Amino acid sequence: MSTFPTPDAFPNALRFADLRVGQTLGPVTHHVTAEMIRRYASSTGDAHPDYQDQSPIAPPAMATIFSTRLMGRVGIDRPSGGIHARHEYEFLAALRAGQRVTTTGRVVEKTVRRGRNYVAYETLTVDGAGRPIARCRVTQIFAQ
Amino acid sequence: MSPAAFPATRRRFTQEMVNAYGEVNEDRNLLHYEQAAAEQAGFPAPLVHGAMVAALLSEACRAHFGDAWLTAGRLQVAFVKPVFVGQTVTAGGKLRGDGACEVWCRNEAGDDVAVGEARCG
Repeated sequence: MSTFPTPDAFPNALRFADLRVGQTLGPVTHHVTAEMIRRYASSTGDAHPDYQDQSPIAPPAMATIFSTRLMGRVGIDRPSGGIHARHEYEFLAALRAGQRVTTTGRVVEKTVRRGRNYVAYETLTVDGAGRPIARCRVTQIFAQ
Repeated sequence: MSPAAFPATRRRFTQEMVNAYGEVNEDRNLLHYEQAAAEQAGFPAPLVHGAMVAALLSEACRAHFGDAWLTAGRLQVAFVKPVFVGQTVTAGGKLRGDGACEVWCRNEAGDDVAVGEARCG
């Protein structure tokens, strides 16, 4: 039977108890490749030809990957079990393969509702020239 | 002028798609990949990543708003019900009086799994 890794398997994880409103997150950097774009589009089932070109643009919702990475990789940097409750996107510029993007963020809300630990954070992703690509506000329920 | 209603965008989410998304996103949450882990958490099957549902909504929005969606799209999504591997989800939307669109994703039973709002420009 499958079992979840114990919390102490992730000693450096960001945990609900440790997060505070105003806390800054990141930066994290992603190098966006054509392969990454094609794999993302394929995994979500989006067959738009723009995402298959030799020099493809990225589906805008790929910003999800950049924004949520600020809290760490689930099952790698932090324990499994959290839930993605809400995501707000503001798409500002098209992202192309070959660009390097950097994402920063800030915790804006931390609440417990019906016994669940909610954390909301706002993020900004910019390209190598500092041009804004996407803003997000993410709400996640933390298991720990 | 965009039409009042979105063209329906339908997707069956397979385990292969969920695994592939997890590879791109470097997500190892067992709830998405292992039947036993899903059952241990009280679910009948592995969960589709919420971000995949959001991506389907964004795809529907691009079909509705056109390429302006890439540079001026605004989307708010609340994930209100889990989507399980093997389920088919339909994204849709309709124009409201204030210029924004009410958007949703529904499962085969017609239940909302994600709801929100979209606007462009």
